[in-house]
Amino acid sequence: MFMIGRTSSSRSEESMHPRIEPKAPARTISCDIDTRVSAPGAEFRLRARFEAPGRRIALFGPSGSGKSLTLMALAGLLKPQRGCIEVCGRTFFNAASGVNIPARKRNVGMLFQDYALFPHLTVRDNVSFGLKPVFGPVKAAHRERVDELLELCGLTGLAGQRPAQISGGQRQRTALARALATGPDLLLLDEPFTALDQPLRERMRSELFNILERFDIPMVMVSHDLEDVDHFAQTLVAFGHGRVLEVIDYESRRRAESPRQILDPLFQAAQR
Amino acid sequence: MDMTFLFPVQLSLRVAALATLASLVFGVLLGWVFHRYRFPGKELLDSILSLPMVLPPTVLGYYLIVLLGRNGFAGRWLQETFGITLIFTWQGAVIAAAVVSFPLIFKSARAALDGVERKYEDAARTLGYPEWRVFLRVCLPLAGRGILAGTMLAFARAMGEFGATLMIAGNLPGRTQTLSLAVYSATQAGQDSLAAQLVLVISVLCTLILWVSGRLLTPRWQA
Repeated sequence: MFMIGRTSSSRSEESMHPRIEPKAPARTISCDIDTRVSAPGAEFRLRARFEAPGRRIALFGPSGSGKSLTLMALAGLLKPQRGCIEVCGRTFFNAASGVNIPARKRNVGMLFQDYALFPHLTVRDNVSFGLKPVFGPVKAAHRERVDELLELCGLTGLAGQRPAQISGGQRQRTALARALATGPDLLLLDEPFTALDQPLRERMRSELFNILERFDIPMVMVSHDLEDVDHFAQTLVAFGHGRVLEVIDYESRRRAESPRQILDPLFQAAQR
Repeated sequence: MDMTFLFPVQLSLRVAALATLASLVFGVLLGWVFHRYRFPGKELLDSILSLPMVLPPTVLGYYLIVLLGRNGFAGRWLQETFGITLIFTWQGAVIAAAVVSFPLIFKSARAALDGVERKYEDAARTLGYPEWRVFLRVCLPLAGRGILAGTMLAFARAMGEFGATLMIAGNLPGRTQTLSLAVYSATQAGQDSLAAQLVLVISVLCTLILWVSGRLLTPRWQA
């Protein structure tokens, strides 16, 4: 009886406040999904099974290994055929019990690979997009928050520009500000630096991580880049051929080993 | 100016406006359904819905009479339930024009919505937007120009509708005689100056519409 009471009350709470309780039992992402994805001319089978603790998780592997699809499944943009996904003690998806929280209720921020900024909206309207009520303008408190984010991301002078008028790095910061504006419980980064060229890439990496350090948000980043992973990862989930090869406590192994020593064998394993 | 000129012009504008409005609502709605969902027989249904674009208008007129005529099943039901007759009325002309112009909006709406990259919709979803708000705030603005261009073509097509209108609404001067029907009657009756005036009106109007819709289709935002 007690159990039933608890379950139903937490459900109704969930539907009203689609947020993870701040004192979530564990900062762990557990994912066990099995699904077929059909692209034009090909079919891909993804069997991603891992349990990753930590605040900064990197999904690492060559392209076509299933890491981006896994990220989509975490965001709720891809519905797996079987399995379950739990993030910080909250069930996002469970095929067996028919639970599938829609993307809009997961309160997960996403930084898309090529940013997916709305081309018809200004930088400011992009950033405040998730705060816009159904009717009327953005609330004053929310406007302040947007101003702070624009300031933090160095976009204040560009607030009135459209995405096509600003540089790649500025676009990335706009996308980051947009994802942070709604106060997400989890931030997903899909290959955040591949769209940038090498010198800019290193600058953006430190800039991005400086901004993110001020926010206490668990993050999952998808990357195939050694340096991205080395700068970012606490926990590493290595992908290959649509499967998880290994989950590594990167931070502690890094004390004794160089990035290449850890990552090269993984890359080779993924390419076999 | 006399009513033999003014009536057909205003009737055509009214018929085309109402018909375009109706096909805009149904065309965008169905275009969105076709963009958003997968179902068996989808492309076949797309072809059937696009038929009015290629079928002879007389064939459409025939279908409409079978459907809406005094002995047609929809026609009889309308007559018995609401006392509405569509045959030989200007409202019947609206139906004919709507059917003919519908595929132009449906096709362009579907193409324009399919042209909106999924990542934009996904971004809105992760930012807390339910599907209807994704449609209003992302899909419609990004597909809007394509839909508007299709709407203008539909209006021009509705203005020029002749065959199906003739069959369902007849060619009754002062009641159902639209501009294109009036041109035909005036030519037949040897009223050359009336015919010339009407022809000038519709030619200028349609040129304007084509020019504006062509301009609408040039992209505004470079990614």
